[in-house]
Amino acid sequence: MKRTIFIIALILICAPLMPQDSVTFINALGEKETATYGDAVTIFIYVANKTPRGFSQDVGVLRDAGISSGMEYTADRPLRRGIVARMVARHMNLKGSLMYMIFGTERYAYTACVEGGVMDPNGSEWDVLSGEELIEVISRMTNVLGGDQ
Amino acid sequence: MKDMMALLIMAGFIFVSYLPLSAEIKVLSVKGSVAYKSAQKWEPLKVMMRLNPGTKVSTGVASSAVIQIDKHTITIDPMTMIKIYEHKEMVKRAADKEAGSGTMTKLGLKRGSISAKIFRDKRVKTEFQVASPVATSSVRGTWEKNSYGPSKGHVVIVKEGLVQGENKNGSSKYLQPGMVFHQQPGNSDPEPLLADIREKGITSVFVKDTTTDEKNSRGLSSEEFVDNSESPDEFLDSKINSNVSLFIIW
Repeated sequence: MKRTIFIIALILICAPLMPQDSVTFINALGEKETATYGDAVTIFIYVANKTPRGFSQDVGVLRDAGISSGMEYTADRPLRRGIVARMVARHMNLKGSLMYMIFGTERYAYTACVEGGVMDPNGSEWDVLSGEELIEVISRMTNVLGGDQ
Repeated sequence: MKDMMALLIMAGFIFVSYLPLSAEIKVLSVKGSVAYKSAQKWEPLKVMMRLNPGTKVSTGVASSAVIQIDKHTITIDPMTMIKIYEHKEMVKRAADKEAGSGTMTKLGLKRGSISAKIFRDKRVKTEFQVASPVATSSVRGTWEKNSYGPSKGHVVIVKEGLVQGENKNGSSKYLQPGMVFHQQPGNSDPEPLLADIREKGITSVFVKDTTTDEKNSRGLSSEEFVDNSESPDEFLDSKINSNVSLFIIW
């Protein structure tokens, strides 16, 4: 009896630490007024069809994939359009902007994303994204990669 | 007493004949991580589950669901949240020829995209609306795709039939297959219906005697021609006779 209670208690304590499924994460992200770099890392892990294991490990996975290399941001850093544009451009291997191919900066990554149909031109790489805006960018990215209109 | 009973039965019959019947909302398929919320808590969505009006459905990354609302089929794409506001079926009263039978379905699209294949019976009035924070599409035809995002706005792509797109200011457009309704947040009017086609058209215009290689390399497209002149005025002022063949596939 004591053992059963102990196991139940352990499950209840550990439940918040267990990995979320992607819909729970997306719903929570949609409520956020300001998305963070940590959110972008997590969503890219889901896009790669992997399970998030915590910020440090996830950044390592993305760094190995060439998506977050050279990005030394903390998890709670507010997400700028330029940061996510750079991640998207790397993930999609965008080549629509010569300047991006030469310099690879966030500014030109944003231009490449506009060329690639993932972002709209009426913004700036300095815009801080909300959770809904981050979801929209990732959704458009997966649509373009999947050949959807 | 008998008169009273007869009156009550008649009143009951009239009430029932006008009563909207809640038709079936059924989950046909689920892929990946999909949840629904009918009260306070999100629960996993499962195949063959029955849903009620007022339910929200949300899909995760690389996840989708297909639900059937009466005879309409709705495909919910990844990272989408919808709310089934209402679905009711009005039954025609035999004694009153003016009262028509039909179905009314209203969905809210908070984010993402859905494809809707609408069942249409000519004898039945079918209303199917998808509302986003900036616009509403009303289907009179059979097949459309709706998407909404805070930057892009509400986009409706018509695949079959006729659709009416209307923004919050009441500015509306009727769309036929191939047309795209696009209402951006903050704009008072929707984008021109043929903007998408026009952009594609301009880059496909070539001057006469253009070789296939040149066409393929787009070396002499109209844009290049304008750009290569010394000034736009010089190009626009010059009078040149030209033959134009126009093929409109509609």
